[in-house]
Amino acid sequence: MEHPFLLTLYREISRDKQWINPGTDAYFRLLQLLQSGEAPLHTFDDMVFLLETLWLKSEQHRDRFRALLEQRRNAIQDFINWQSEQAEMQDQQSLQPTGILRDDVPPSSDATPTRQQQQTREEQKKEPLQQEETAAPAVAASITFTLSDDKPAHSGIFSLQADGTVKPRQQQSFLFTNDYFPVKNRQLQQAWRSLKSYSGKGLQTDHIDFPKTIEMTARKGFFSALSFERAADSRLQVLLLLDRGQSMLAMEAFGKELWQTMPQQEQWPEPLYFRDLPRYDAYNKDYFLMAGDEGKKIALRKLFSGLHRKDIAVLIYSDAGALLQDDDAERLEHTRAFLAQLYGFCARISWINPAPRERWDDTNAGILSQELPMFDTGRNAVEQAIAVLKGKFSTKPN
Amino acid sequence: MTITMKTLYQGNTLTSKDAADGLGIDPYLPSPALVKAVQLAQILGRPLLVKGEPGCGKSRLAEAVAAELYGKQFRDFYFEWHVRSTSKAQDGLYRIDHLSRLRDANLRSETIDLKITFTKDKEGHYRTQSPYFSFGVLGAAFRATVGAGAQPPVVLIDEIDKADIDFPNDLLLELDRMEFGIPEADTADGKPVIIKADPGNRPVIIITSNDEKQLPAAFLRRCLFHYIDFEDIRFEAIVTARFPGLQQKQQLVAQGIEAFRSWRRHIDEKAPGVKNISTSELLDWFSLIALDLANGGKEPEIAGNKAPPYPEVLLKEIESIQAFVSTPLSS
Repeated sequence: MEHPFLLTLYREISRDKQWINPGTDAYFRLLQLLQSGEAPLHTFDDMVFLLETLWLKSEQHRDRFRALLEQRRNAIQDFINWQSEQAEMQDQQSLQPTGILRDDVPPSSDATPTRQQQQTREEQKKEPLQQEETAAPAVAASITFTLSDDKPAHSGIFSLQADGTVKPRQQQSFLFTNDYFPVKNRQLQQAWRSLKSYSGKGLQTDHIDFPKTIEMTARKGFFSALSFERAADSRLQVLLLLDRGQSMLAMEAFGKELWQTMPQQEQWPEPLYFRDLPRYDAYNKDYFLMAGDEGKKIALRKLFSGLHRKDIAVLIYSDAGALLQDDDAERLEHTRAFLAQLYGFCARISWINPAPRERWDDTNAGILSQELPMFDTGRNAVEQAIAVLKGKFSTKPN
Repeated sequence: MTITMKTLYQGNTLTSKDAADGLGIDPYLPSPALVKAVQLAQILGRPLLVKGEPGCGKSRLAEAVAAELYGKQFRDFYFEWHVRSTSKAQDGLYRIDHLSRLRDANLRSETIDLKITFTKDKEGHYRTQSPYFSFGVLGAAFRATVGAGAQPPVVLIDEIDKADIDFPNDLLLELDRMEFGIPEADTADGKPVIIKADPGNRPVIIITSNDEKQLPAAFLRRCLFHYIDFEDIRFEAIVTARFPGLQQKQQLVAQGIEAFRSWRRHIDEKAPGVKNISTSELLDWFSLIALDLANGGKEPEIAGNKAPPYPEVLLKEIESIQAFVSTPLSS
């Protein structure tokens, strides 16, 4: 009972990197369901429900997933019709509708529509906007998988307002989501996890270290005391510097993602910002960075006072002129001077550049990438950038 | 046990306070889509991952499923695992009391058997008398599928995203094959101890997540997924079922729910990103109103374009309170 459309649809969905691949077993699960007759299809909504439950793994992708299915509405409807024909051609005494609704379910306002109502719905013209339907109380006699019983068929995507306008169901300020980030949130979390260096010198916890206790007991020949685990102590403090310059406007969201996935730093719980270049105060002979949305200025020296240089690493997120193809020599010298001052306070600096590597040539980014570790925003590159902070990656220029 | 029409969850048992009180729990009225998602999970024998806003009823679903399927004895077939940030996957399978073993080893008493020995019963299932060994929630659920009178238990794994990022990955084999090994166990024949769920009684596993962390793709592929949409929640029916005293106050209930929707929209607009009023808070609010009315109090004035009465029950963040104080609501 395998129809080529189902495999084509599955392949298309699995190839899309924007959401999680449902996996081949999800495809076979759907086949199994359809072949068993436990989930017969009557309407487009039935199919959407099945696919969402079996193949969709995140609410944030739902609208896009439904839009994709909507584009294939005709093909899906053809598949449903073919499926119905196949079911009719089978034995009459094949499985009773086994699943969904008991014969003794009392009618209720939430009961699924009768088959006649479903057919009426299918015959309606496919309009994105529909009037609200009031579900008639129905005797539950057939199996249905309608998405909702008293809402328009497309309520998952749009909702019809009282004044006749259409609003997307989910209000979002921006069109883009973090689906398009080069490195996903979870991958960033994993990358940041590697930052923790277990020095084993942290505070004693109340978790018994069994292997050590047993080792002590074996050595002494008798049990004398318990050994407790020590908390993993990461002395390394990482300062995140984000460029809020004009060229970085479109890239800000990924910078925010870097910060949100980063383990919280005791010294600097929030990132610091600069616009194109940190401001240099000639009178104080110091650079100033900005904190928070209000842009409160903080002097570089003040940031690091009382801290050991070897325990500090700095991660800079900036395009270094690559996005605007900037090769301004003066700007380059300013950046070098800032980095020279920064190196006086920290052990390691790593730089993540949102511009693709091929755009660095003939810009300040290309020159700077020869002088300090600079990485683009591929998954491996981000992991390497973080490894530099730990001192575990070669700091040879790229 | 073969899945039949009668064994699939229908979501129509806990629809009134009387029916729910008889089982010792609160009424639960799921949306038709949620019922169907649970049915799919039962048919396919796959865990169902349920997400939704906090307070939308995710965690109560499993209990409601167990109560409907098993009636008054449902607690014999219902297992809850409330995951913590320190939870390990191993905790859900079994625990060994190493400390007691160490203490008893130090005492060197000849009467104490320090080994964790498993023996096979008549049906070939492993059992142990060891005082140092206990099954975790999943382990106990797998055990409940075997033996005389066994039925598919219902398991709730609540707030799985609270645990460490790798926690879901540590459960892949267990969720897939519904089995796990106990390497610390001894057997007479020297074979490893494998605890398996009966394939005919696969547990119904409902996993909830607050979406605070992303779950691994390998884990998600093994689950079915359902999002409890706010729009699908049957507020009127839920309120009427929970508070029979308000059944005669249909207009008040309708007003309250309409106002609730309006306040939610207002908070969304004026304080985006701030926690919004949830279903459970709405029920707490109606609970106060019902109590007040039962004690002879007056009906409160409820209007969507005014700040809510009993705001302390609904508004939990200063920004949401300020949204009502500083900005007049549009009519």
